[in-house]
Amino acid sequence: MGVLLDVIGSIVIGATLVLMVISLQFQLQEAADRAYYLKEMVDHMDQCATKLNSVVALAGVGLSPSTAIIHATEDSLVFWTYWDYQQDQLGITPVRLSIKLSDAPDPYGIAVLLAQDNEPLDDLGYLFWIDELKFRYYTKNDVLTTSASLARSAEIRMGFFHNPPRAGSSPIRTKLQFKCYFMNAYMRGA
Amino acid sequence: MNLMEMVLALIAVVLFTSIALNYNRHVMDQNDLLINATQYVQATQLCHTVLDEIDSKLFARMLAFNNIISTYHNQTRTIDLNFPGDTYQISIEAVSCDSVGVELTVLPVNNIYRRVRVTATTPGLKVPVTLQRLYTKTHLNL
Repeated sequence: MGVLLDVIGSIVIGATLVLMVISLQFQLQEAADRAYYLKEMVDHMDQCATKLNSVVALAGVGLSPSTAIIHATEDSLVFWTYWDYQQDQLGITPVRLSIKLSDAPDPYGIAVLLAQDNEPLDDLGYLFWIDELKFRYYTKNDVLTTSASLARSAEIRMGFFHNPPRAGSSPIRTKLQFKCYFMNAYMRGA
Repeated sequence: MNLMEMVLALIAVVLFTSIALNYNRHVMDQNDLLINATQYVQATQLCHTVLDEIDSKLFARMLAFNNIISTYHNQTRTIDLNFPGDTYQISIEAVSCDSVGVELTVLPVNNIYRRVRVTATTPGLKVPVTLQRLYTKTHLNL
């Protein structure tokens, strides 16, 4: 009887240890996957900020600073510019560029859409893995404004997300807040 | 279970626990590095913002080229970013320099180069982020 109890006890303890090891391995695997995803996301954050900065800097090329911005709302930024983003060169007629959140094909769900005359740009028309985009605008003296004609810089707040490596886990999320100057407006005296 | 078996069982438990703790600590360290990387990107953007601010004011002639140092040197800013939820300390250093950005001790007359160096720190960021930009006086500047 004593031997039988020893055997049963050993099996229980052994099984518990094996389960713990397996559980630990799974957790490590998930942590490693999340770390890998986050690494990609950090790189993506940097690229998105750089892209938006370069797009906003070319707002209002060839136009008066007070008329370049069409809409300066919390959810979107729309402006005129003679810079043709599609051809990546100076155009002969002004184009209308908009930056806003938009529906995107699966698995992205939602993305930042950069559209020139309502057509997504061929090169990086969509910035994926972003589900939050907010704008705040500042005058040339760095005072908050809601007036499109007075806006000379935009503070952009972006929330990035990525689906978790395993079902049931929480999504990976990061946030970035930065400011873009309408450099062409400043070059024309702001 | 005799004494020897108990001792062996205890050693096994200690061994397993130490391995598990070691694994967990390394995973935590890895995650810390990644959180640090996120803050690094944010800090980089803040430094860019300061440098772009100077550029924009120079373009608009709101800032005279010769006033870069008097306006920005030794300036510190505390930036509370309520969206990501961090507070960053920004320090700015502006000096006269040569064409490759080396600070000058003896200033030539009408030196046309200024170097602005911006450093951002925040709790949790292991290494401060430093960016610098060289500004050259042109006929567009005041």
